[in-house]
Amino acid sequence: MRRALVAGALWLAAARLAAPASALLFRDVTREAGIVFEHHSAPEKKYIVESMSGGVALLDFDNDGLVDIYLVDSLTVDTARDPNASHSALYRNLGGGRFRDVADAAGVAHPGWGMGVCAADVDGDGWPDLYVTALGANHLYHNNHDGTFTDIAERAGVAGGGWSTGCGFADYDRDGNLDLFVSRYVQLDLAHLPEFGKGKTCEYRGIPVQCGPRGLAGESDLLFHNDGNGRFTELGRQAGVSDPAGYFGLGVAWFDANGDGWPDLYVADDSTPSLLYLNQKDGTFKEVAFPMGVAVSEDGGEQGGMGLAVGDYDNGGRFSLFKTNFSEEYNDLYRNEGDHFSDVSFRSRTAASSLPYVGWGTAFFDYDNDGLLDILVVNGHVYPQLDVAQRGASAGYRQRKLLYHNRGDGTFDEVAAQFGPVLMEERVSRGLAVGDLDNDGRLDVVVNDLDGGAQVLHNELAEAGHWLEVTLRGKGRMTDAIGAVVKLRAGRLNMMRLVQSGTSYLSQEDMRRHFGLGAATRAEALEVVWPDGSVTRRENVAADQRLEIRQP
Amino acid sequence: MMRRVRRARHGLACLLLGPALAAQSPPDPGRALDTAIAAAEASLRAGEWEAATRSYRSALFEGWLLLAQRDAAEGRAESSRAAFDRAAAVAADDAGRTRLRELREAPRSALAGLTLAQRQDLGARARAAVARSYLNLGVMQAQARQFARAAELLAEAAEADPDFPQVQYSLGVARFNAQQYVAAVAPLSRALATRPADAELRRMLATAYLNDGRYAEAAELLRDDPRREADASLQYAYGLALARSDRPAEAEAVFKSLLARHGDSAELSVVLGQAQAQRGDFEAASVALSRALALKPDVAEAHATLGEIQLKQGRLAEAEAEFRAELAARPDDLKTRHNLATALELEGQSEEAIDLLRSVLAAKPDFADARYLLGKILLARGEAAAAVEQLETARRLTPDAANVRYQLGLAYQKLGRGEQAEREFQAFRELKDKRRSGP
Repeated sequence: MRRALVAGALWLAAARLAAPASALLFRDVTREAGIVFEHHSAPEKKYIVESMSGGVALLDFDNDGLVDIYLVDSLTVDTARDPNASHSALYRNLGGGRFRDVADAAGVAHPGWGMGVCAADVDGDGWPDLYVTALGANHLYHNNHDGTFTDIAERAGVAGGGWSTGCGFADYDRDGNLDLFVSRYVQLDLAHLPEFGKGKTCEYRGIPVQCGPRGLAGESDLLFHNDGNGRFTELGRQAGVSDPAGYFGLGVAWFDANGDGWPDLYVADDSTPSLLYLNQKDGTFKEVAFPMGVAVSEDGGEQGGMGLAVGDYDNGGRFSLFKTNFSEEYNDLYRNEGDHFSDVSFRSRTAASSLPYVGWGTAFFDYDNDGLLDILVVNGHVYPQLDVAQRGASAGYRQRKLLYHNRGDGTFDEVAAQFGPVLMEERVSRGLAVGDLDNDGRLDVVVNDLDGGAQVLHNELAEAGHWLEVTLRGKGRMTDAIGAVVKLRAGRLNMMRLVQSGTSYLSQEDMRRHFGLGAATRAEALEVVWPDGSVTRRENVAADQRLEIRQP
Repeated sequence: MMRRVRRARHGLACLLLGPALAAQSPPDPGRALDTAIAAAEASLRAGEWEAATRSYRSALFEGWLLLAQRDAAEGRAESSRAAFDRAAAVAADDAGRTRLRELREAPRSALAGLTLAQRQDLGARARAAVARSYLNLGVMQAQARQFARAAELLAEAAEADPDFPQVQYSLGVARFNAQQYVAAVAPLSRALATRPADAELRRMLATAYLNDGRYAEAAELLRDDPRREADASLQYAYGLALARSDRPAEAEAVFKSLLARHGDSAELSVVLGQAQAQRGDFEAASVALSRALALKPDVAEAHATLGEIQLKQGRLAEAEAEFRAELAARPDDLKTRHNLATALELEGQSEEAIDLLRSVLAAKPDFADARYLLGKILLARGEAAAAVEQLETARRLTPDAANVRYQLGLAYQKLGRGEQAEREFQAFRELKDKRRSGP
């Protein structure tokens, strides 16, 4: 699958000024890959709980060097009593572009009313485990090293309850064990659901629609501290991250927001201010979203926060934030200025084009390997009734994707239409995960749609730059090195990437860190800052290879 | 944006004493008052307005003197002083002023022989005469089409006796015709309560409501008006009331029926387009607004609404073009400049946006939205101190604007004024919570 590389400084300069004019970037290979998963959802979406699933995870569950795909399915109000009515899929990557669903054999097919997913080697045995959020009890699928998993959520104390959505693992207290944060959405009793179309918060442009989240009671969030003995203790309130106000929590991102080396936590909230918790290094957090400028829109709008991406898009040495929102709001690009964030959404030219769309899954990723992080957003409305109502500035129920090409000057061009119909196809998407499915150095995309089939988009860009993919092996129980930062210098490019558990919208990206190098055929310097603060350095690393670095 | 709708009416009539009442023989202290009233109304009947005016002013003088003396006799010194002052203001000549001075010095003596009941009766008659005098003076001004002056005089009448016959009606009509729509609402409402079948009065009140921003009440009054369907201006007013009371679908139907009956009209196409945009049908709205521009290329409202539609859809360059066209149609309009500055700011053209906003604020320093936008732009450019200056002014002008509190909080934060920042963020949260729990 290797393609010819077009190298040279002249090409790189051109790539930074304008988006590539190539006709083919992604090819939809879903069917030929053998992916037949279809997410279940009630057609009319009479209840909000039928609109919010589901996530997708990219992980190498069998440690064969090929990234596999887990797609979360959900129930409906009508099928709520039958867990077998939904069927989540675990597609084992067979190589050669083929996948096979092994979810039943693996024991991960029926998480009930599934919502999201995040991955991590929770017990440090070298095998990735899966955490699946749900309406009702969540699931911690422990990897048995033989292609099967065992749900140990209850035993481990992480089953939670209520309506969980986002999740992410991180070692917030640096004790060498991965802890777990779970966001929750609204308090929902299936026996007493808010009646469709009845009430002020159950109308949209004068037509009856599902109720919520406004008008419904919000749910608090959960922080499970890993006690190191196979058990977790819920410490959200003590740590100051429980969200007692009950904002409507969705996307979760652990990242170092203030550059002090400790993992902070950002939660995208729907229709309420989002939350940024700064790690106080003593087991507690301080919520600072307002003073840091990441709580609301520039004009103080409480946006419908959904998915999150964290990345150093301007190669400035700090992790910025991208958040997807509801239509007629705009997607936020918050640039990290060190001691605060600036809302540069309009200045970066990522905001205006997002206004018609309800954004969900998103990722910073370098699709053309030019050394600059681009942005992908998948969209889809929540009200099927929209197609018979007046839409205002919104696109219809089914919506296209948005692809932003990074120009290298702090601005982006929205270029989806330049790459043929694949990204322009109107769908009702939710989860999104990016990873290199075929190990060819170009990043592929997997999307979980609310209605209908999933989508696997294979990156076939001919004129992509050089690349490097780094797999980190942490020491002790932190085998995934979640929270580690990989920094790389190649020519004029200074990049950094973060290893994250829980990304995008209720999803999990490929944890291997990918760098586009543009014309550079080697990285002069590569540095890993491990979660415990220790540093490993490499020099003169050749391009176009997958590299594994173990923590000493 | 609000289109003022008015229907001039000035058919007010003076209130005249019947012959029997005029011939009554008053007790001595009120004789001069009754004489003045009788003279005024005789002059009115004869069409001698100047003489009538003089006599009514005499009546006012006498009436205020009586009230002053009555109040003095009953120990209400402050009220008595005020009545004497009012009398002084309408004293016609030196003789009157001399008499007034003498009475001021011995105010109780003139009414010394009257019983309490007689004084009360005299006071009531004096107050009625004052109200009557102001009423008829006001009506005469209205008949001379001096509506603002008429409204002042009628307000005096209403203050002297709010229940005096026709006073609320006359005051409402005068204010209405003086285009004091907001002030007209209260007297017209009171008048309508006493004459609910008066269709013209309902229409006036509806129009006053419309201009006062009380659209739902305006729509309610016009809903069952029997003449509405046949009267284009009433129908138009009804459509506006519906649109602005968040009933755009009904408004759209009204405007469509007007267009069907009266043919192409740029003005009607604009309001139709606005109602369609409000309903979320941007496509139909764009068609209607484009039609308006085809009929009349410089209809600023059409450009403004098209600009807003483009802005909401994220088509910034198109929005900018519409706002520039709007500005060309009304170069001095401050809201238009603000609209253009909004689009420019989102496009990153902050220099021109700042210039526009400074020009707006030079003309109208209390334009809170312009202050806010200027502050926001300055903050984004790193000029936090200058931003604070603008945003603090905006906060003073609109303390309940959550966006202002948020941006001001960010600006304080940037200046290291953390406590002030937190106060603003807290105010923001409280405003949002209040809005969430509100109706």
